[in-house]
Amino acid sequence: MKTSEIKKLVEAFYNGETTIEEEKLLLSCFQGEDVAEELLKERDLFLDLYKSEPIDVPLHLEAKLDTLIDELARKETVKVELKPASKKKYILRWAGSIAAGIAILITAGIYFNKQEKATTTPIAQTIDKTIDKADEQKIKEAQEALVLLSSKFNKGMDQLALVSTNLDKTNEILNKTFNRKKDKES
Amino acid sequence: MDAETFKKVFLPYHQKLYRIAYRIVQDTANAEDIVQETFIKLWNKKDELEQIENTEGFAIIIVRNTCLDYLRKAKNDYHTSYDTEIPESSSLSKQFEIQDDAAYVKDLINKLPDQQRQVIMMKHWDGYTDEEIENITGISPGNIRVILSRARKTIREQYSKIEQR
Repeated sequence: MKTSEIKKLVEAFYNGETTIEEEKLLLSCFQGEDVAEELLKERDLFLDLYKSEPIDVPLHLEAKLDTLIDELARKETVKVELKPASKKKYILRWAGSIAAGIAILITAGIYFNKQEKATTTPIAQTIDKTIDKADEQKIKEAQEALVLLSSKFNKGMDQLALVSTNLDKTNEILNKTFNRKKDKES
Repeated sequence: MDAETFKKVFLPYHQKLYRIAYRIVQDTANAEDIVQETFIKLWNKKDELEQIENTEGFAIIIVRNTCLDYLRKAKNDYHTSYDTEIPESSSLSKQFEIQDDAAYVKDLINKLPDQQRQVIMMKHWDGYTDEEIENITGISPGNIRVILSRARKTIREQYSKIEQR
């Protein structure tokens, strides 16, 4: 390669206009023995510019990332396993509410049915007046008891949900601590 | 994408990702943290990854953005450093201490503004193409040429000062 051509390429190089091929060409020219004296300084700088400083990738990094991926996958599995449990919880709560509701409806149905019978048979009404009153009282008490039972049941379910949330949080904290310890160890 | 497939696809990129992170943040511990954070981000996006053809390019973009986030957090003025000039090389006496020309050139490269330093190291030392540098840094090919030209000229100028001594 002629000295004038090399000079042109050198100028293009400093203007950031050379292609990779042209830079490789310059490199091979400068690495050769026939370099014109006027280009010796350019050669030295050019070769120094390409003397790389290798970056050593930490040897443990791959194993660390491998463990990290396993940990991420494990956390995801735990989350997936927890989901059906919380669904069950909601189903139970709904079933409880519905059962309590049905019980109230049945009690109310029996009560109104008795009242209707009482109005259609006035003689029986007078005879059994005292019994009816007692029944009415019992029905009322039963109704109240069922409402109380329903509210207690819902309260209990709320407490269970709270306990479950706290358990999740505790698990999360434990996992974090465990991971940190694992990272430190590795 | 399950854990095993994820490992098969992305673990082989870890060396390249680490080198990119190191080029940008210039610190081994932070480069390692950034690579780990990149893998967490990739895992969180694993459902989208099956539709991505260039997984390596995607991973490079994530590592680059993570590096930029880190630099922003570290209040390192990454972007404004673009136009700043090389600091007038320490003291002349210090320059004379550097006997080896290659070490002196390395010193000059290390003193370049962040963006110039990164681009010149990626181009000369890591052998990346302009397209790869564009993917890694997000700098357009036109700007890469301008940055390279500035960096090379600055080094040539500083180098010739020492040669004249």
